[in-house]
Amino acid sequence: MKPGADVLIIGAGIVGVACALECARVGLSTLVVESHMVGGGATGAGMGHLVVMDDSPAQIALTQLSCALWKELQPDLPGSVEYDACGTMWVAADHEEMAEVERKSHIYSNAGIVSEVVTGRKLYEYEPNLRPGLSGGLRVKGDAVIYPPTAAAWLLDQAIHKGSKFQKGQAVREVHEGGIVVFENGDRLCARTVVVATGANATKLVPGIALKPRKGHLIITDRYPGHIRHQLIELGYLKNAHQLTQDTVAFNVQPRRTGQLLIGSSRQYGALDSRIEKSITAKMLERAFWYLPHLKDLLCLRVWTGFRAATPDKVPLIGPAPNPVTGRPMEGVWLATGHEGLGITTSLGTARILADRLVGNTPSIPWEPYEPLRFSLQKGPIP
Amino acid sequence: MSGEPKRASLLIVGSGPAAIAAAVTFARYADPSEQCLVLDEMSTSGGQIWRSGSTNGLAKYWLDGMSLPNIHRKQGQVLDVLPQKPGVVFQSPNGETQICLGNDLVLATGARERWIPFPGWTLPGVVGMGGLQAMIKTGLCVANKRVVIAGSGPLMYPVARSVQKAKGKLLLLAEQASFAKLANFTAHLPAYPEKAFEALGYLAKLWKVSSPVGTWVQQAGGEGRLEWVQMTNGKKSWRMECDYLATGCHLIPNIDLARMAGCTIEKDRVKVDSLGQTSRSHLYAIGECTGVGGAERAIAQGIVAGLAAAGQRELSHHQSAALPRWERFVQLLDATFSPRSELLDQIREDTIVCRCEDIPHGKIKPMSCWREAKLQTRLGMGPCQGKVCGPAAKALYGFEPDFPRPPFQPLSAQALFQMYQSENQES
Ligand SMILES: Cc1cc2nc3c(=O)[nH]c(=O)nc-3n(C[C@H](O)[C@@H](O)[C@H](O)COP(=O)(O)OP(=O)(O)OC[C@H]3O[C@@H](n4cnc5c(N)ncnc54)[C@H](O)[C@@H]3O)c2cc1C
Ligand SMILES: Cc1cc2nc3c(=O)[nH]c(=O)nc-3n(C[C@H](O)[C@H](O)[C@H](O)COP(=O)(O)OP(=O)(O)OC[C@H]3O[C@@H](n4cnc5c(N)ncnc54)[C@H](O)[C@@H]3O)c2cc1C
Repeated sequence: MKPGADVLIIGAGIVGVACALECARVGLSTLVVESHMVGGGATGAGMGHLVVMDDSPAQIALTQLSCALWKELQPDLPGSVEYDACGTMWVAADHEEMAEVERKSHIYSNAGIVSEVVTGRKLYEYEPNLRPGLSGGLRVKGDAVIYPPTAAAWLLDQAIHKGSKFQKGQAVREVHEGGIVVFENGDRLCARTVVVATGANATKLVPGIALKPRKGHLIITDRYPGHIRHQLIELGYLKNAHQLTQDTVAFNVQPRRTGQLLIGSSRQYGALDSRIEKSITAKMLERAFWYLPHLKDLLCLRVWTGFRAATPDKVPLIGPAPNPVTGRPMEGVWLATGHEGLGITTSLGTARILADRLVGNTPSIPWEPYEPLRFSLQKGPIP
Repeated sequence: MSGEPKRASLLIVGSGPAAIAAAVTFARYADPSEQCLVLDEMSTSGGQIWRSGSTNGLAKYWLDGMSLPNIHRKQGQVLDVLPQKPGVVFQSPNGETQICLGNDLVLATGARERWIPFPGWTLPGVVGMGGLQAMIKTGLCVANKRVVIAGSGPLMYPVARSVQKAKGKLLLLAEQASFAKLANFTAHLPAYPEKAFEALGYLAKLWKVSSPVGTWVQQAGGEGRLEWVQMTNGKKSWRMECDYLATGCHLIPNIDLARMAGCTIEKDRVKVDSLGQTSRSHLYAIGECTGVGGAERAIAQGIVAGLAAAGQRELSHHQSAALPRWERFVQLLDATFSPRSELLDQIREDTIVCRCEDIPHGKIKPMSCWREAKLQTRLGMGPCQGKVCGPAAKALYGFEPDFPRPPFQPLSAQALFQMYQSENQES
């Protein structure tokens, strides 16, 4: 089969459409295929916090690059994307967590990210509705919030504007060496490079990759402008999010441009259906009430779930896919997935790295930490 | 949360005619030790129709029955239906949530008004028909106010009477259904003498009011408030100045709880067998949530389900012989009062479809399904969660709305927390 395009991207989530825009921008002929609709997967379920995370050097590098790219785009974003430079407040409940504030602020300043250590009364000047008696926090002014589904739709529009093609309504059933995709209806297409950007679903097309769905619950309230001003996250969040096996909940509440509050967050492995789980949701609310006591009285409108695509080291998979049998790179098949709870943020950095690598440019940050073969090469062939 | 689950032999959600008939019949025919618990948001029984003051003999007979000693009534909101057993999570007006369990659960959740958006429908002064009736009842003064009633379905007549009784100036009572459809309806009416008599009763009171058929609202207008409506009959249009426009396009079954409970739904109604049993065991559905057919049908269904729940299977079967006739009436109503295509075509780019989020038709039109429209335009994301715009979007664009799930109405985070916690303990 002759390649019909330089790049064929499967999935119009935020990662897929960001990749399409970057590929089109560097002059590659690009086609995006999507089974349902743009931004209808994890992208339509996530919080949309654009945040620099300091979990590992690779994570800082990618989130920092990505946040900078979002900032560059910001003047062009339409109002529907609801970009809001509200910043993040990492909340420290006690002295132990205050020590974490110091450590975190250090890491940020080494990376060139401005943050402000907030103590005592100042915390309540920023966030009067937090419970009394908290120790302080770390304010990261540069972080922001967007509304992901419309951001994805806009990125796709930009890609189409730059010549990218878009096709929706047919799911891809198989992906083969040589850049071949087979659709559910039996149709086939070929491209020089196929990019699998189907989020948590990627294991269906490329079996054996180190990816697991990690379920999360969210609750949205009615409009209460000003109730909180920053995205508020407990510092215990890091301890919780690190847990790779247990179900965890953490205080993570976001102010939306609409004046609504988006209440998170939970993390579960092994939960594969989208059902609302009562015990987890109750725990999540209880945690949020502890930090924001007045939250109890606010009216809630809807509860939903979504799936993050999690890798063992919490860093995404960007690059050639491992062959399920040999563990060696598949010819003409790449991955762009595994973004866990950060894919809205890191979509832009991912796309930049992917496009640079495809045309042989050196990415502006080291790309090796995101190389999908890092797992299969360690383990050898996957049985 | 208030401790132990509340238990009853029969648990009924709703207290309209269907629910009341089921409760009273159960109370009369079951063992006197068996209790029936009726849950309803409203402070008084009667549902949509009897609450608003209709005190005919039939209503009085059944409402009086509610004082039987083994019928208990609790005011509050049903937040969720339990997935495993016949039971619900219930919230009292003071905010307390509680699990209520029964041997059988009856859903009698009624119907709601269908709105088809037209230019100007969101102006203050444009109200739903049930809404106007309720407002008059709770003290809205329409005396000497000019009122136009324009919509579809039998609900218009009691509303017209309420306006008359409250001394409002009823300028027009317009039915959108065509003359041919109404002629067909009238031809079938003798098979439903109770309905024919009711219709004659209204006719006797309303004959002086101009009551055109095949006539509908094209547009409503005014500076910040309703000042005029533009009517049409397809051939000519005219404007009328008025203070209130009551509108609505027949009713649609309220099936949220039943869908949530996993009951089979067919043609937007809860599917039931001849005894009112849904696809889920020990779970019955009666009244308008199984199809819009009026109070007499709802009562007939309530009697059948009440007998079945009381263990009187034979009597129940016997009584169920009355139901097929009413099923045909439901279909007759649906066929007669379905919105004409002109109602769907007169919408403009800037006509608001989703009132909670202010989303105009022009933004929704390019979307491919409900979920895409929701994610990209915020359609249905507001406090009503698609209760109003969902049916409109279905009529206008063929979108199948979301699968409903709690919270069905905006609910405080505290109540939501309690709901999850009590359900978690119960399972
Ligand atoms: C930042 C943000 C703000 C938001 N604000 C609001 C708001 O203000 N109001 C509001 O109402 N919503 C809001 N949402 C939520 C939004 O409605 C949905 O985005 C959310 O993804 C949950 O989906 P859902 O509730 O619409 O549909 P769901 O019922 O969760 O279903 C989603 C899709 O999954 C499919 N599905 C469901 N169950 C299964 C299954 N078991 N197997 C396979 N497929 C299944 C359904 O068919 C459907 O297509 C917001 C979302 C975001 C990201
Ligand atoms: C609860 C929750 C909160 C989150 N909060 C944040 C946050 O605050 N900040 C942040 O940066 N990130 C957050 N995330 C993470 C973020 O939402 C995801 O990382 C991101 O959306 C992933 O995008 P994606 O394009 O990889 O996947 P998706 O959005 O899932 O897109 C995949 C697309 O592929 C399509 N597809 C799948 N299979 C096929 C097939 N076989 N053929 C054709 N098409 C197919 C799907 O229909 C879908 O459109 C959160 C996630 C969750 C669940």
